[in-house]
Amino acid sequence: MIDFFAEQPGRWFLVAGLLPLVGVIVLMFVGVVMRTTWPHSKPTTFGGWFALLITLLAAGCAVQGLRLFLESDAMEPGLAGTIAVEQDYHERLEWLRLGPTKAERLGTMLTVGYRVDRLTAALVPMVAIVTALIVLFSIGYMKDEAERVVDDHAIHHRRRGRFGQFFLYLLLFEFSMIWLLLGDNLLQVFMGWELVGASSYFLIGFYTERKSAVNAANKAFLVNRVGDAGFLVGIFTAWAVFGTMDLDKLGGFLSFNAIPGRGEVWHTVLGLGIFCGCVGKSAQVPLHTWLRDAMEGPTPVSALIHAATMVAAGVYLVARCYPLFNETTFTVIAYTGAFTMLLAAVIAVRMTDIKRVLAYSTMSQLGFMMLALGVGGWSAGVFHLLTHAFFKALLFLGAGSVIHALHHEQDLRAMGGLRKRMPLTAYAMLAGVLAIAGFPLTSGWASKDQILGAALGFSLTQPTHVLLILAPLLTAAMTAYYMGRLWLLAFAGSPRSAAAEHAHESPWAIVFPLIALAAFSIALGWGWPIWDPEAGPVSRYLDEAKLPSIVDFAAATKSAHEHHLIAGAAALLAAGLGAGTAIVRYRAGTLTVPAAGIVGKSLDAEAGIDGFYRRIFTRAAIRLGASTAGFDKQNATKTRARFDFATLDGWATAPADAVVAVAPAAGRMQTGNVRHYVLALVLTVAAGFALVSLFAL
Amino acid sequence: MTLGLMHFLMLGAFLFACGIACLLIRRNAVGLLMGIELILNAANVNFVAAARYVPGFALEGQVFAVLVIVLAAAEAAVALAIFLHLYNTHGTANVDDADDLKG
Repeated sequence: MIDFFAEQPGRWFLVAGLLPLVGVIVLMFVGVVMRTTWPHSKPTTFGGWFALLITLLAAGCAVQGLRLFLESDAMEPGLAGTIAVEQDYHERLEWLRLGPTKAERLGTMLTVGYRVDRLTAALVPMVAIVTALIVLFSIGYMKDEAERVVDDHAIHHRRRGRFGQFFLYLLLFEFSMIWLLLGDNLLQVFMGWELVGASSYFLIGFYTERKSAVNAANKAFLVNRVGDAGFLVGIFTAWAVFGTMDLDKLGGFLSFNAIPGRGEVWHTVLGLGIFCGCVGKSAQVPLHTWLRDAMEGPTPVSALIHAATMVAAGVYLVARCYPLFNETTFTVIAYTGAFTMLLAAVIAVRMTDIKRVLAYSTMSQLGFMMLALGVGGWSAGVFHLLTHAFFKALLFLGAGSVIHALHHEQDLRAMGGLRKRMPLTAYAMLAGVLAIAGFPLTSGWASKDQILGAALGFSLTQPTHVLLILAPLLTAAMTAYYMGRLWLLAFAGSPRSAAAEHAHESPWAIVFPLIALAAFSIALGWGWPIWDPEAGPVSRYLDEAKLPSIVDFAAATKSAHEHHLIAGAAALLAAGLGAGTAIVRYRAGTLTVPAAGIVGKSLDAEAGIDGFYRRIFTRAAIRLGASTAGFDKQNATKTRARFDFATLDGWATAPADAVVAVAPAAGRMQTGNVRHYVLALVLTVAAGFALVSLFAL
Repeated sequence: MTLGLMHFLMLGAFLFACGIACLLIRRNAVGLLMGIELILNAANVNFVAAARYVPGFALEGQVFAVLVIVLAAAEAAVALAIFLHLYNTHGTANVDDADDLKG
């Protein structure tokens, strides 16, 4: 056992990823046995505690792996040292060999393996820790599911509790995500990618009896499929043009132009294809519509999807494939991020459902990350991914705690005054709100500051892209406004409904994860000196982890460092303005009044995008399906017969038609009359003799 | 004119042809059985003739003839049992009516 890890310390990460899979298998087995042996027993809470154990073990493994990684990284300084360390965290098996085995020819081998570099080493523990906390939270939150009869409050439907099933899905989610992070080549990343999509489908549609949940799950799955189509294009381009799906090799080829004669066009197709997948997963415009509906899942699921796993996958992939992108791709990434963050922030301002506000804020923050990656702020973007994972998980779990205490009331207008009734939740939530708004000394401040610095540096060196600094500044202000609004509406003042009046603090299983996450949200960016957002160890670590890129961002990075203070001050000013507006409007009591004018219209625009897709794509697809089905069901006309014969139908039915044509004649030979058989026998023998004598003589 | 092998073979062929004709023409089950007996006996004639005329077949021809007779007896016993059953269930011994299995 010790040897197993000593041989390749990267196996700590591998085990962290595979443990949840073991948990999934065990839970599945136990579930089947329980359901078949004692079909009417009360559902147990075993699944939850078992999942907690598994996730804690996984988190332990991941942290141990990170510790070893950091130790060996510190021992071997410099880039060469880092590469040497990464060799120890990298194993690969041959999976399929295609074609000749002789030389290292391109496009002949598929491998399966894991690789841990600084990016993965930072993200795997984050995923494992956040998931463990979410599992603990869920044990408290999903307690209702451990009953023999659960009354679904939304549709008044009574059913059996599904406690264990929920944790099975959570574990599956964790496994898929870590698998995705550890993936050594694009194909393996794609597997994890699809598994994440599938488990999110299960989780969003967890309340399968609700029509809305089913629709939301379908929507999330289908919209992601659109992005995945692009991702597949990217993968196939890598395979067909560059001959490998291996991330290291691909990066090497592209950076050093080792393959002559491969045009820039293919390079762009590769980059945009991969980014298309990221757009779907990370809910960027125009594939963002699934994210809001994904709120149909139980709240811990929202936390998991929006913090540590699903949406993080897209940003991770952009960061991972950094060496593969060219300038066009980076421009597209930056503008997609900028547009998404603005749109989402504008909509979030209007939302009154606590979970939807958070959903749109997630979209907006993802836009920040994409923008940072697009303008060359690799470490800023990844840093924000990390900090965002913690504070967004905190915010969602806090919202879950509130919803739990208010018996499934999600409307902000029906809350108020919860600060007195559930102080722990309120102040943990406040930590999250401050972090996301970019309040100084929180983790969100440190990461957002760097993003704005990167964006400012980029716009200064390339003045045509001035929009790329205006959008994040504006969004930062709006973020502070709507998050302040959320907290003030929910926790300050006096209760606005009976449910809020009678709310109580949630049990410890719910509150403890909040406090742990709050600690992370505040302190993750800390370092010395504490007022320097780039001084934290996490930030420094990521700064060194930066992957190479073929686009030269050196000037922008230099400019970013020079104008860092200006960016920070502007961000603070923006956030202060936003928060100030929220407080002023709160004092005036107009926070719940729906905004008019351009902001009001923008919400309709959001609905418009959905309607547009429905009209153009959904309805067209349904109509196409209906018309082809109708054509198929038509009575056989002459045209149709000819058409069918010439197309696929003809090939499929031709053998059957032949049998039908021959069968009656063949059947007639079987008269059932003994004497006919004798005659046939005699004639056959006679004919045989005749033949023999003919040839013998 | 001396009797040779050819005469016996021709007699065998004639008997065989009669047997086949009987099988083809008769409808009565017992008639069919008679036809089969004729065919078997045609073979017997050949065997015995071979035993007499063909060198080295003296013993084998006779043994085979005895074997065929035993075989014919067994076959007749089984076939008669089947026909009896046919008559009991269908009230007829006409094989043309025994076509229940025809699809």
